[in-house]
Amino acid sequence: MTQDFSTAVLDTLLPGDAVLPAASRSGIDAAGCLSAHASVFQAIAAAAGGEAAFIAKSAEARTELLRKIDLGPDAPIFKALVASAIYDYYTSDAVVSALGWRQGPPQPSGHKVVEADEATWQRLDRVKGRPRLWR
Amino acid sequence: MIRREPVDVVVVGAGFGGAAFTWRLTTRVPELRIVCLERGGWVDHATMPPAGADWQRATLGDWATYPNLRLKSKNPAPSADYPIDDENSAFKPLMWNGVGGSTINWAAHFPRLHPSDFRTRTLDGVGDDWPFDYFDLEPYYEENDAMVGVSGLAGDPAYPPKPARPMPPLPLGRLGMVAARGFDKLGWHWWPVDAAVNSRAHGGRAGCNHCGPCLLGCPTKAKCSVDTTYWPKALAAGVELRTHAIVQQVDIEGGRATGVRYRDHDGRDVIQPASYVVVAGNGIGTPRLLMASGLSSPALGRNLMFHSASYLRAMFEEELDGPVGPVGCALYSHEFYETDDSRGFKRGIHLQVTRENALLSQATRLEPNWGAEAHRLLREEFRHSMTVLVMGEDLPEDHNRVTLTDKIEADGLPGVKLDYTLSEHSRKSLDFGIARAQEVLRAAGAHRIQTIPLAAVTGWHLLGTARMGTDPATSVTDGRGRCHAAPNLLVADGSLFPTVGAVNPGSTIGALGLKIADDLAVELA
Repeated sequence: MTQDFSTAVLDTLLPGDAVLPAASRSGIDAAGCLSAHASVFQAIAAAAGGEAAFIAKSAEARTELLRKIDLGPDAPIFKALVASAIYDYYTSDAVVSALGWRQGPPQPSGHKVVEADEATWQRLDRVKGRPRLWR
Repeated sequence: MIRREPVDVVVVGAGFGGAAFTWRLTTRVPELRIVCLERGGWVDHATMPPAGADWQRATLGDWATYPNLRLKSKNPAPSADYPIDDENSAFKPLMWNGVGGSTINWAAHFPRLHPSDFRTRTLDGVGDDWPFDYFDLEPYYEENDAMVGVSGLAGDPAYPPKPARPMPPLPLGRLGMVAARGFDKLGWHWWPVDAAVNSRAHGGRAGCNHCGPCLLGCPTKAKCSVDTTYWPKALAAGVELRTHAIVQQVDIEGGRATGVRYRDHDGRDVIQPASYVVVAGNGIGTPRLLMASGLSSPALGRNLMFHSASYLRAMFEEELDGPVGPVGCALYSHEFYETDDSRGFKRGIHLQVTRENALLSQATRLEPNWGAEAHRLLREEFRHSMTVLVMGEDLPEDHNRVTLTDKIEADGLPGVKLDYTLSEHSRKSLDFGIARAQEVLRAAGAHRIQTIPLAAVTGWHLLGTARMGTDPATSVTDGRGRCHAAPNLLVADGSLFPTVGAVNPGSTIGALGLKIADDLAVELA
């Protein structure tokens, strides 16, 4: 398996767009992914007619090919690859930052949640003034 | 076999029910020698996932809420789990096995049952009445609130008057304000939740800093778990808590419990004689142990109730703050909680506006979850979504049950199997609730709503399998939690619920634990 092939597969699963980086630019461990999920990469290459043939396809054609694998007999190993890629991708600093979110764990700094405004509390008076609802 | 010195009371399970029971009993009768046996251990709050770099992965691994998933994790989970055959169950059981029980990884949403929930047979002709009513339990609710530390707001017309809550409500955030806008447009009831989470420093614990993933444990201890509230006080009062002690059997002779046999942390078999045995292992663990012990009781394991549940996830153009703040806590509506026969079903529904999951969880559940479409969906949802949980009252049904399998599991006990089918009644109530939730989300401004008609992985509430009652043919214990078949064998957890209302049970489990202890204290006096 070549690095170009594994990159092409991962970038089809998690493509770049105006906001998000492609998998290959997110810091995802492509080599680790390839080694842990070799059988599904082999199945993808076989379905495409070879690694080079997969790489040569358009983004739409690659997506279509992977969709067929997702629905076919290799679905379990394909889904395992997707799960693994998603884990790496959405926990990467590059992706978290691209989505405008803070890197690092939630503790110890926590987050700010705003208090309700005065208008909301005033509207709650309507509820408070209702007759009892309980039996 | 090691034989320990006899004690007065042995409690099995250090979760909410066991903790509240134990603290209360030792407070009421300090001279009693009380030992609690817990199959799991203590969890170090400082090392809980929200404080670590890999926190998002923990949600799907060693800190998953679903024990069957934790058992498959590459990293050993700090919860002492056992497999549960739930293939034939519409809802998947969620729990934590260790000191604190499921309060370790709960959302700490802390409503009480309504007065009508205790009298469903009398009022609505369904389910069964409890052996006591809301007002009998009310002082225990108050005491439990004080022990736990509750943030909230008094004055809700959906409940009998409650005293001022110990702390002000948690902030509603943008998400809560937008939801409230929807309820107000429709003229419906809403109220900020009662939460067992400190909105400011209280009871020696910090105030919540809104980090978000409460289901991964709380490093700051702002969220109540009973390992930080009840247990320190019970231990200070002289109770002995033995961890990694897996009870194999309650010994019963001539209609009396004589003690328990357990496997200790070194794998040794130990006999612990006791005058009273109290089981508090949740609605699955309790019947599992009692059935394995040969307790003769036709209702044991039957009438399993979870609360039926659906989810709606709505997308808004405006930015919301869903992924931060205590996840289970924003506001709720009890507009449709009480019976209205025109709806075609008895009892009612709870609508709960909750906060959102972390980024990885949101990305994982997308359909499709890969490709350009997944990116589009994620951008539409992340920081723009709001979830409404529709919870219905799950009525007791004989065929929904916990049974033992023929297999002996690694913990030495027989395997356990769940059979649970969603009833037509529950389906009707959920469908009604879904329609109402769609109305309120549209009124709040949602531009797209995704509906999950059956939220399978919501089985936190494990209830009803050792229910209270007066008839030994249809109940396992009396109104004081004493087994009909062995009166010095008690139950002190959610298994006791004859019916479950439509709200989270934690508050009632704690109150019930206190009441059962008081009842025993009176018997011992």
